Amino acid sequence: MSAQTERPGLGYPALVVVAGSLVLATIYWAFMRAPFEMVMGAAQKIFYFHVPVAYSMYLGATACCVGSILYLYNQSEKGDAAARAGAEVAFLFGAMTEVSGIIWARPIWGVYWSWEPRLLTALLSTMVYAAYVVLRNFAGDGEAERKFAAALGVLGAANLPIIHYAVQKWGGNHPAVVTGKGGGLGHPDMKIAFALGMISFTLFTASLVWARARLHLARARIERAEERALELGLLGDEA
Amino acid sequence: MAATALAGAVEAAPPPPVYLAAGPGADPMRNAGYTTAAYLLFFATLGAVLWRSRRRQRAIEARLGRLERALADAPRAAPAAAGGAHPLVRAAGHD
Repeated sequence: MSAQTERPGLGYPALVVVAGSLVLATIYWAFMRAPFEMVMGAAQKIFYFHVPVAYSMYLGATACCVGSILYLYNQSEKGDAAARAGAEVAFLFGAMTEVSGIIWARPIWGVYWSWEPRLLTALLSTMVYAAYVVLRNFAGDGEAERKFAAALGVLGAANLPIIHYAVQKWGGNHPAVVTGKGGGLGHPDMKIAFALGMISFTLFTASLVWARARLHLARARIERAEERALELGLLGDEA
Repeated sequence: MAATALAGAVEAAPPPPVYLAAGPGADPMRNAGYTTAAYLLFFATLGAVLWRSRRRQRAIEARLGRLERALADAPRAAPAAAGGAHPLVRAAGHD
């Protein structure tokens, strides 16, 4: 065991700076360059973050699934940390997707919520990752809990393609933004703002997963250090 | 410098055009309140999550550093009975 905690290199700060700069560039492009959409007015500008954030939920969920598979395969501490970090990010961005979608829906659909396929399946995924986060925070951190959570992480990913294809398969009111059917991305500056949003949130999601995984690895090292101290009889029963 | 350049770019930028011809009396800024609410909520949440996560990361890394240093020094440290809490107990934050 090293006596010093691992210090992050330049990779993480550089990623945060680049992601933050691109998020600012997205805001600039969305509000200063991209024109207003004819039908939705200013509400259409919610798309420049709503869609990248929904995509970020997919990325977090994918990290959770891959980390969970790694953990189930070889009980890797890093796999478990990546899975936990991915689930937290998926829950955060899933909740943001829901809330920003609800705010957009009120002026455009006239209602805050509609029981249509994509909203429902996205809500289901958000709830799956909420369950994962609650499980990991309140149900202990033993091997059984980790394995159960890993299974949830793998099975939770099964809903992602269903969210994606829900609009094509079952219809519903949800606009298909990227393919241009009702999303309002006809102008080149709209496309640039949207692309900037997608790139910036990909990097931002990577930095968040990285940060949270480091946090969980540090927690695991604290637990190992305390267990070692207990074995040596250096910590009393109060530990 | 970057902030100045950004401010200059914002000032130099022409006002965003209305995409396609809006109908008579149409207001491109309609629904702006919803957009503002969404963005404020969005960035307030992100900021709070990042700030809390960073604070917790620092606290955990500091605690881990103290614990690992104390563990490395453990063979040389005096037993707890010698007076006061053992350095490991203090490092682990149990005192």
